[in-house]
Amino acid sequence: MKARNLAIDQSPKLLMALGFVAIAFLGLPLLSLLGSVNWPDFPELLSAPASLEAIRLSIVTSLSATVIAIFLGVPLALIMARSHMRGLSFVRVLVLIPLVLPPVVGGVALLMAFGRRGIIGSYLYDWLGVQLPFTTTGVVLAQTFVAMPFLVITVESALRSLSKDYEHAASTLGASRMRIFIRIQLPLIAPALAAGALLTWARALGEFGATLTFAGNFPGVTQTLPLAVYSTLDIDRDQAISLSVVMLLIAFAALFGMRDRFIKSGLT
Amino acid sequence: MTNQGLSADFTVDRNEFQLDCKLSVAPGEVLALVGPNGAGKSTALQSISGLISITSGEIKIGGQVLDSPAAHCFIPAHSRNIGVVFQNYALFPHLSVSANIAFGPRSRGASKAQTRESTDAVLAQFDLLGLARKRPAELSGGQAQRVALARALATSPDALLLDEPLSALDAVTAGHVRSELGKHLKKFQGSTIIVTHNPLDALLLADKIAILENGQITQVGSPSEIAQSPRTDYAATLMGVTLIRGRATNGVIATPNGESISTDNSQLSGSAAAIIRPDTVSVHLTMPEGSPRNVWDGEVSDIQQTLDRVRLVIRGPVTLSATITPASLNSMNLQVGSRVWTSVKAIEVAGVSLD
Repeated sequence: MKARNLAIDQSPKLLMALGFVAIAFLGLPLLSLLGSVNWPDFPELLSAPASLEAIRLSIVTSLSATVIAIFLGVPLALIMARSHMRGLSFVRVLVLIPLVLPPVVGGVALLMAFGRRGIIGSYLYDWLGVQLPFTTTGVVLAQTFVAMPFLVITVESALRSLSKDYEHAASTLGASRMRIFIRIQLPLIAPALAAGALLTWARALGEFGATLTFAGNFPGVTQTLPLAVYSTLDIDRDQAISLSVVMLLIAFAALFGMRDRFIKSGLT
Repeated sequence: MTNQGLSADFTVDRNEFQLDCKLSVAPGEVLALVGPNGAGKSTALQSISGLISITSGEIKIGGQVLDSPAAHCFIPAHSRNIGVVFQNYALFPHLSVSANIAFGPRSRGASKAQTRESTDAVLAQFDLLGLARKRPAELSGGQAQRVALARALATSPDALLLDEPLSALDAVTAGHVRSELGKHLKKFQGSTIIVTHNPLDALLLADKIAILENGQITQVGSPSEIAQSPRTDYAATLMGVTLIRGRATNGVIATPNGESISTDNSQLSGSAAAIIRPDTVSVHLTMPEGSPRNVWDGEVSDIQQTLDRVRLVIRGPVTLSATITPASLNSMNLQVGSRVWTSVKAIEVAGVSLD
């Protein structure tokens, strides 16, 4: 049944008009992108070796970054939501920084830490012979650095809103901290964890600046989809556009996967 | 107190607040911890269950020390064998009723087969077989309370702590659940502490009442001891109610000594109790005329005067507490031993079913 709007619920006409401008501004570029696709050659463009290589690399690295973000980010979220340790507000800022920091700065910071002459990287290279920058592992590192905050923030807010009574009840029933985490907290925050993982993955998939700075742009090794789009835009516009559309579709799919969380009720 | 049961004598400092709590509960005994909001009841429960540690003193159960800062001993909640029923029940929303009940035994190391067997037994004992597969969100308040109790008892704890076990229920449901709870508590072999602010819970369920005010235990005693000689105004107001048990027929309760009490509930039948608040009891020097119901003779056995109230205990076929003004005390010239008549309107007598 369609509810009728009350007169008071309607916005002023000027604001309505501006709102529609915003809709057009967000929508038109995407429509233009779809309109520019060379559809007849689309399958061929995507199955070109360079395209497939970039798609494969993007999927592998973004999924790896998401898995690392889950394994490290969930424990961090637990610390932030439940512990009373000192310096927690500092940790909170640290988690938020990658969200507001230009990714290229993140890339430079990663170089300073894990580069061959970096503070940690020099030891990794000298002692273990491990080189991170300009490798596929470097791509994963850059993506994790930039995307993990999405996971931490989503999971932390879910844990924080979880009543402590469940943990207390589990504790009086004999459950250890670890058992409480695995059997009570984790299942109860599962929807938030899934949403956080999806956001993290989408962010990792689109990572550009930090990857370019820290891992470079080597086809087959570090050239992920966004880098491939950027590199081919001047050489082969049709291919750049078709790769862009792939990412647009992935973004749509990600939003579709989270529709209950973000679209129906709005961002919370 | 021997080395059996629960004994606690401790302090907890929390910010500005200090709790000083001294209790002992024998096996099979039910203690009601009663007090106003903010008196420290929850802090006391959390200390005993091991969710927080005490500042000084000692908590022991069955002779085993659970928490003693002086002895550098603290056994955390998950290693204590104490069942807790939380105020909002805290049933795990993602687990079925039977998985909620199985959680404790599994956490304490029982095998899957053992747990299945014990869970089935608990489900049967608490009449929950039909609800075994339901999620907590599908349960009524009374059912959820029963599941919470079953879950807490499924690990056969040495002690059971209940935090305001009936406060989330409406009055009618609370009555049924209370008598059901009472039956389960009678069977329970360990020590029980019920935190409540409802005098009915204390009167109907507890063998012993401890009054907690401002972080201090102000009085410990049997319900009748506290009702008859309350040590604080709070205890007097709270526990001054008189509770008389008997069998009801159409709202009239017949007491064991042959008196009958008319109540406000004309539907009341079976095992029941009449609850009479002291401020509803009228005191007369001669037998009051008119309404012949709920009138008894008696003898003033105690007079306690506070600022603007006088509390009388009147012994007779139905022993009642009554509050009157100091002016009436003077005008009637009442003393201990005075013969008086008491009357209460049926509408002022709350009839509560105990079935």
